Amino acid sequence: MNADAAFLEVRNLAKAFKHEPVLRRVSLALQAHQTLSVLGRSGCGKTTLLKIIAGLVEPDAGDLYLEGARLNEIAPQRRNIVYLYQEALLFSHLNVFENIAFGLRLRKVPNETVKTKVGEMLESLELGAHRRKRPEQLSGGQRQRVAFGRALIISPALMLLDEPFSNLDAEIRTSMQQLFKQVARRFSITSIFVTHDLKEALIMGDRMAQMSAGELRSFASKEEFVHDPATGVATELGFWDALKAEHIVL
Amino acid sequence: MNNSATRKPLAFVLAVCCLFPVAFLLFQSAARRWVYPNLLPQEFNFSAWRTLFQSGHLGGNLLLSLGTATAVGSGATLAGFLTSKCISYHRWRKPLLFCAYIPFVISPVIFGVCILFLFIKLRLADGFFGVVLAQGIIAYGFATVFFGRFWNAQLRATEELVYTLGGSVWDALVRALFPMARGALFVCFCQAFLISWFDYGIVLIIGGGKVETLTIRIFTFINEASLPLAAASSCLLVFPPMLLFWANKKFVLTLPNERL
Repeated sequence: MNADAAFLEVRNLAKAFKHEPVLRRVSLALQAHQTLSVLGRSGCGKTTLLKIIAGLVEPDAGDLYLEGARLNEIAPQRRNIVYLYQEALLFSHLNVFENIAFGLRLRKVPNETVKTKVGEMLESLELGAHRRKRPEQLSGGQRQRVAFGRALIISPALMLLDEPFSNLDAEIRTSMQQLFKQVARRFSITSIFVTHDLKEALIMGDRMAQMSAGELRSFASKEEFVHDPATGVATELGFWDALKAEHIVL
Repeated sequence: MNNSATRKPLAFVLAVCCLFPVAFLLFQSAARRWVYPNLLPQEFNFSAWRTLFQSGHLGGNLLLSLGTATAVGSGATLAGFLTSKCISYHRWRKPLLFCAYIPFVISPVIFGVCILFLFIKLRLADGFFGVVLAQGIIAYGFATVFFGRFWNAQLRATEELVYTLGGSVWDALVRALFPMARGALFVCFCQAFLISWFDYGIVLIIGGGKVETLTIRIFTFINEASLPLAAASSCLLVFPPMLLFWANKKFVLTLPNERL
C-alpha cells in the first residue's frame, strides 16, 4: 500500500504499562472507506492500539496521522474518531431516540434536524419501532445497533470497533456482522475492527492484520492472510477437511 | 416454614420498632401531670405545641437547621462525588480512601474540639459558615467513601465514549455521569443532610451558642426539664427526615448494587 495516500497512518507506536511493553513499534496504513480486521488473542495489545488511536491513551512513542494531519496532540473530542466497546454502553437515563441523538445534542444541532437525522438513522437500523424504549427494554443486538447509530450519526472520520459482537449469541452475531457490512458500505465508513474470532475477522475486513505480543503484522491481501500458517486459517481449514473426510468414511 | 407467614409478623415488628419512637414523642408532647407511679398521664393537652409555635424562635431554628443541612448535604454530595471519582482512578486509591474515612469515623464532638482553635484563628467559629464547613468536612468524608464503590470500568468507558463522541469533561459529567448516578446522588444527599440535621456536638462547639439550630433548642428544653416542649420540638426534628425518606423510598429501599 502507498503510505502517502493512506487515510490513517500509524508509525512505530509503542506503549508500556509498568515497564511491561504492550505495543512494540506498531505501524499500519489504512485507505479510506475500508475496514481493517485486526485478529489477536486477549491481552495482545489490540485495545491499547485502538485507545491510542482514539486519543484515550497516550503513546510512549510513535506518530498518528489522519488524512495527513498529525493526531498525537489532538484531544479525543476533536479527532472525530469514535471508539465502540464490547458493551453497547447506552445511556440508561435516555431512550433509544435520545441515545442516538446524543452526539448531535453535544454539537447543538437544531431540534428539527435532530428529529430528521435520528428518524432516518432509526429506519436504516430497523429500530423505528423502538424509538421510545429504554435501553433495558432492548435485546443485546438491538442495543448494539443503537450504539452503531449513535456513532454513525455524527459521521465520524474513523470508527474503532473493539470486539463489538463478542457478547452476542451466534445467530445475532451473524446478523449484526451483515448489518455492519451493509451500513459500512452505505455510509462509506473507514474502520478498524478488532476481534479474536478468525471467521469474524475474515467476514468483516477488507484488509487483514494480526496482532501478537504487541506486534502487528499487516497482510497485503486476504489470500496472504489465509495462506499464512501463523494466522491459524490453514489449521482451521484442515480441521474441517478432516471432519468432512471422516464423515464420508463413516 | 412458609416465607410469607414469617414475613408479615416480621414486617409488623419492624414497622412498630420504626414508628414507636415517633408515636411516643407525639404522646409525650401532649402528656401533662405524668408522675410516678402512674402508668399514664393524668391530663392531655397541646399547650407544649402552642408554646412552641407562639415562642417566635422556632421558625428561625427550623429554617436555620434546614439551611445548614441543605448546604451541607448538597455541598458534600457534589464534592464527594467528584473526589471519589479522582480517588477511584488514582494509583493510591486505598490510602486516599482511608484518609476520607478519618473525619467521618471520629466522633463529631472530638472533631469539633480538634478544629476549634483553627476555626477561631480563621474567624469561622461562632457563625453559620463555620458550622456548615465543620459539618461539611464530616459529610464530605462520608460522601467520598459512599461513592468509593460507585466508579467502575463501565462508567469509565462511558465517560471515554462521551469524549470520542465530541463531549467535554463537563458534558460527560452533566449529560452522562450525573443523570446515571442520580439515584446514588439523592441517597447520598439524604444521608449527608441527616448528618448535619441531627448534629449537636459540632453546632455546640463551633457555633458557640450563637448558631441556634433545632437540636440546640431541644437540648435547651431538656436541660430546663421541659419534657413536653422537648418532645414536641423533637417531633419537628423527626418529621423532615421522615418526609425525605418517604420522598426517596424508591432509592433507599433498593439494594446498593441496584441503586448504584
